[in-house]
Amino acid sequence: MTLLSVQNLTAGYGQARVLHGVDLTIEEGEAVVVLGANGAGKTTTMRALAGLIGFGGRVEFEGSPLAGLRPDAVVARGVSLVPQGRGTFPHLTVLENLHVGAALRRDKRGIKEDIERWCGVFPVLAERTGQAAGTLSGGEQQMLAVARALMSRPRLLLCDEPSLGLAPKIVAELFGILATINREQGVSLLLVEQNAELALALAGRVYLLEVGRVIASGTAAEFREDETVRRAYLGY
Amino acid sequence: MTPIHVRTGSAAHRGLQIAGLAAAAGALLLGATMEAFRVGQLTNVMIFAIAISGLNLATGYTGLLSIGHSAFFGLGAYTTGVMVVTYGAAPMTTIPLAVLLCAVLGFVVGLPALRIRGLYLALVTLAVGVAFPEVVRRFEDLTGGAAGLVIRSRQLAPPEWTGLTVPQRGIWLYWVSAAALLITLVLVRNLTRSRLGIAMIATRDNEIAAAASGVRLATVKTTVFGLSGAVTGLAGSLFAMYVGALSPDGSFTLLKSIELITGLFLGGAATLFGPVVGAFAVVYLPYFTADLASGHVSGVIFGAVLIAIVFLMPEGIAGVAGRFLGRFIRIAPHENQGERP
Repeated sequence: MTLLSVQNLTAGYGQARVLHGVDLTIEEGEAVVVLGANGAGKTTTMRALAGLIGFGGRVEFEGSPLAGLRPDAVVARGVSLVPQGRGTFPHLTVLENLHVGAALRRDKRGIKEDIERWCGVFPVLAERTGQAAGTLSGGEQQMLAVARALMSRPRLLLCDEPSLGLAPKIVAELFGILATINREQGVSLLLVEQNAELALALAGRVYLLEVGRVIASGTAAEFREDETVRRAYLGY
Repeated sequence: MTPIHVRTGSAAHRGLQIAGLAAAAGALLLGATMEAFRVGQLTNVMIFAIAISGLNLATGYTGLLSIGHSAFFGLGAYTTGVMVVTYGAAPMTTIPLAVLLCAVLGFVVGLPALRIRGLYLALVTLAVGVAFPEVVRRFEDLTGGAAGLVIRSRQLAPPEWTGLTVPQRGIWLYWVSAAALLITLVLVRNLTRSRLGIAMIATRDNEIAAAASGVRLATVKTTVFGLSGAVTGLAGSLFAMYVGALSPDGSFTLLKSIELITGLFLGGAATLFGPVVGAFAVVYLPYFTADLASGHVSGVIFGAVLIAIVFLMPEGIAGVAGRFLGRFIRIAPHENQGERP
């Protein structure tokens, strides 16, 4: 079943249009990656899907449109974003950060269970629940940002360049956890990345974005084998 | 040395809280025995502390800079002034109305925050602050206009049940202000630990991540401005009883806003006791610098002291004090709140 279908998505900032008609779909349980260079419109796509900026075109999540919804309404529908950079609140403790992620929920017991669950998945967080997020390392903050996004119990997790500025070892660990979450918790993933090699290992399907349009798409295996694509966009 | 760790809710923590309250009560009792002039000064400090606590909600905890809080202070003061002078209301009974009107004004001022942010929002609050004295002058029939509004001391008499006489109204207002400050501090403390408080700090720290987490920025910002205005309005209402004579150019211009902002950052933004420390600083620092030199030089020294404090203690006096105390004593959250659940 199609979880997210995006047709002819256009968006931008003021007069500057960044997306000129992006089409993509995500099936239930899938992990999909969007690759592209700087300025291709990857972050703008994520922001539009999360309701942070207005957009044109058809975007349907579980069969009903997302257009015009405020960010909190998008979260309520089951889409959660890990923003680019540090998606954490430095002056709040790790535990409070997780509670912000559950801002729309009222089920105290469920929230507590989820905190336990994600602290199990991210053991670094379990050791630091009372610590201010700003005192965490970059990798720990990114783990916290992902855990925070999962606190709303999303059906679809949007991750905007989670590898940005992290050491390779940490990135590998983070991607391992994302893969586990996708497989075992049934959370579909839409990942935006510049780190193509790791992203292709995680994702089943790939979209290649250039100047606000999808210029190629296919399975991760096809992408890895296609020499032209590999040379031009993946750099190896 | 390693700090002593104290858990919230434990006997040791209770003890510390009781000791703190006892110290505050002792200081207040001591203050009450001083000469009338000093009691008045301390009353002024407490009123200032309430006003700055209000500003702290918007500017400190939520990161919404307001240069217009003089308007809330003024609206609170004029509500009490007009109700007492024109309608003969007992001063204390005017407080709820003053707080309510300021909450409504705060909510309205908060509405633009839904579309604009940062310095542009500060400009909107600036406009409100500039407009307030003009509005007071304009509605002369109600407010007395530029000539001012004078509350007779007879009208400010303490309620009969206190057994206090008119000349003792200073000490009465001193205790009323102390009670109001205590209530304000308890409310701010509880608020900042609530869901809304966490959402406020999240909005300040990372607006995009907050929105993407499902925090309703619109609701948070308008609510915070309403609460912030209400608390500063409470201070304004008490201030009207304190000074007894209101004029648009007196205490309700942008200069008051700037004093409040100065007090907030000197004392420590986004800390509970920062506004209290800041209120002492803005009331007493000018006196100390005036002792060192006279005339313009004292103003220059005052400015230099402000700059020095901001440079040396960017977290404010309360922030630095809190960190210093943290070396000796750490208060850790209770098991089910803080530790791994």
